[in-house]
Amino acid sequence: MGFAARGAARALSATLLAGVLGGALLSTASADEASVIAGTPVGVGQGSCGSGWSGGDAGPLTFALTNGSSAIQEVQIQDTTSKRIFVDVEDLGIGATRSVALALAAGRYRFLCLAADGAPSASPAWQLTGDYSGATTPGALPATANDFVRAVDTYSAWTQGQLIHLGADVATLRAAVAAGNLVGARRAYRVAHRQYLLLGAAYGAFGDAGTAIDPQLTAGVTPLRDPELTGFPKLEAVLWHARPVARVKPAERTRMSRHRALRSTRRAQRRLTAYLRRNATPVATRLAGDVAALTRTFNHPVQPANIDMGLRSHEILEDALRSELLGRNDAGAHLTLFDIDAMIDATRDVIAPLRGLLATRDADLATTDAWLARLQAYVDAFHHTATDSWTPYQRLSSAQRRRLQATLSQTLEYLSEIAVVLDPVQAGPA
Amino acid sequence: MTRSRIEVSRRGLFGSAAAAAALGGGAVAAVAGAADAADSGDTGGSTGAADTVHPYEGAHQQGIVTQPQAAAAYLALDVEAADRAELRTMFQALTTASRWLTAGGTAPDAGMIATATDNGVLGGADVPADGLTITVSVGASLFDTRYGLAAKRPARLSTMPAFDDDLLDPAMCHGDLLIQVCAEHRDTVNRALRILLRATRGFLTVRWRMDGFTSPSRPDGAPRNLMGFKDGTANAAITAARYDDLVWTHAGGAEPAWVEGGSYHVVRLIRMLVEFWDRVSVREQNTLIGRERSSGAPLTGSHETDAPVFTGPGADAIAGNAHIRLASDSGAAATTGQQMLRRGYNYDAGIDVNGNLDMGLIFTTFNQDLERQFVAVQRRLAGEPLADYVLPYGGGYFFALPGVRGSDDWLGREMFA
Repeated sequence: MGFAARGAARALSATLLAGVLGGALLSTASADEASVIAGTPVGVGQGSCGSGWSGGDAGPLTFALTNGSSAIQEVQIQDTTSKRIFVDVEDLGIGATRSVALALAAGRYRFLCLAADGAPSASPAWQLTGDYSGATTPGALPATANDFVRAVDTYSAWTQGQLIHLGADVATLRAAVAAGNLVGARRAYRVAHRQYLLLGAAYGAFGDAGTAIDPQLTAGVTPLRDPELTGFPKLEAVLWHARPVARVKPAERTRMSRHRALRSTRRAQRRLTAYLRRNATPVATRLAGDVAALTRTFNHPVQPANIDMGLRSHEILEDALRSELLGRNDAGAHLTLFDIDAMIDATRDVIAPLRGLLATRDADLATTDAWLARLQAYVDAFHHTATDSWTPYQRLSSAQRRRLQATLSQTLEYLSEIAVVLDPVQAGPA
Repeated sequence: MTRSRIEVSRRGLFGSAAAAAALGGGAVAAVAGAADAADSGDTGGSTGAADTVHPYEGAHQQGIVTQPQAAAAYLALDVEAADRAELRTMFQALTTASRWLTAGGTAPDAGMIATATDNGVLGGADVPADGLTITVSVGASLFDTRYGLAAKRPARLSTMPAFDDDLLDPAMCHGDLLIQVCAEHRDTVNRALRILLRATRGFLTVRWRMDGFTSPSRPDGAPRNLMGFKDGTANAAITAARYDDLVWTHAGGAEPAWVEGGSYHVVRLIRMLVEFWDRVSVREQNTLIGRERSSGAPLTGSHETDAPVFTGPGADAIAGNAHIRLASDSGAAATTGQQMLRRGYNYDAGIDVNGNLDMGLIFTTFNQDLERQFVAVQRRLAGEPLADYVLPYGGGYFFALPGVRGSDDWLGREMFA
């Protein structure tokens, strides 16, 4: 499974669902089909796109679209001048009828009938007339597959560069573990895990490789004792279960006691080194291998699908809302807020190559940026610069948790618009 | 100022459902002037039809003197708005969403540029208003230093104290804001509250929530609470002619000008210890309340509608510490201005940590004067024998904002003036 897994699964399940529902509807409603589905009957399909409609008054419109062809149809209504589309009915099954309601201003429009295979077709243009001034359905200029090429290429190249950094960060982590340097290993863990989070690996975007690198914790199982657990959370459990060896205190620096203290420190360090070699080294070694495998296979041959770009704009932080804020990703380091800070940056990294497409499509882009900044400012209020430590999420008051939740949720409301305006639709005929 | 509350059937007013979708609450209000069940003193349960539309705009908010609908959600919220401008935006967003939700019809069309406004719980096109009302009230904490509103606090609005028999859970008390959502069906309430919260996502957080229901009349008269007693019989005395004296606040005196047409909104989460109550004889239950459980009649009379007799021969049938005697001050409350409009809902919220049923009453009352009405009565009830069977544990004092007075108006506008 590669980057495109999510989009493919979504398309597949939608097709299955449409098939099941369509079948049920047809079997029960076939006797009186036409009368129960609201709207002006319009035929769609390659040979008969838009048949039954030739225009009328501007304002509220309801169409009953019937797929009379032998292929699944995607149906759009397009403004012939601006090329904006106002409706996109996907996966209209063979023989199925779907009602769509919208409100359009006066102008020239046409139906587009698109099948997965076969040439796209269009109805003759039709006219809406009159001085309707009420609310209209907001249309959008769809991003075509061509529009996505540069964004996907840019993001893929960026991700590959980041993966190389990740490999180096994991090597540093592995060396610290091997040296029995717990403090250094924890520091390296944070650097490496942040680097991984920056890749925006939400919702299994990296498939099996991602699952091995940063799996979800199993509910009800202590991470330290979970034999199935691998990657970052296992290392986190091991590293934060151990205690750093205390340094010899100045008060103990009389000759004899200092000698004893040093001996006891050396013993403790030997125990710690053995503990890390036994528990952390195998995990770090496997992690290095998994990262190397991901780096080798990423983008060969699977690039991020076009649909992934928009989806990931909100799914990285949706992951934060449904997992991080419920403590489901805390294996002992209590770095929830550190993680969310990284996920905000990861979201910005996904949006960065899309900005050109969004500039003309997402009227709320500036507001989205403002909420991302507001969210990050609130999260970073829990970072203590002097010690480079983060307040554990568990220590937040319920008022603080609610504010974080509200700020994150509002940010997600705006981010989700990116997925809508960049939802790839098939291009109609020229 | 008009006191007539209007209940209209959209189907009756407009020939086609599609036409109704295009019209806002203002249009509905302009043409309606129908009789009002609550005004006529009918204390029976709601009989509202799915297509009942309660006009959103008017001198007062809906959901106050509106006959209680079957289902309710109470949401206490804290405001997270960064400043005064965002607070205004929040109230405007609440107003906009409430206006179209309560009118019924189809949600604003997000088209191809955002996810759907409607969650689809009621379907999509032309959903019924279903008697939906949305009532927004403010708590004392909104008038702290955050938004520069300290001087605008309604004079009698304070933080609800713990009364003698209370065991308050801070997590279930108070709030900057209270949104009371009521409709004839639970799905309508569900859809509305999700849309309201979404419209104000970054500016409001839910502090506590309780859902309620009104039982049908069994077999007639006031709906019963979960102790089996008819509850709210005394509301019949509060006719529309008395709203100005008992329900609506007025500008002047200690009150700031903007409170005209609002009302002090008291919500108390009162758990009923029903396992214990069910082990008490009906005779004893009758004595504790002062009414006969089956008929709802005062123990001095035969029918629910009989006025209780608190003095003179035979008045001892209602014990000295019976709930209705204490609550009404042996009937004197009627002349001392202490009567209050009650609008409670039953709640049934699962179980407590020990497996006991958690159910009871969302006691709700609207007062012109918090101290003169609710607080005076509550103090008199301190230590009443009935207190052994109930546990007030949450709620708060709020102030129901004046109504949205036109299509350009929004909730709380004058509070910012």
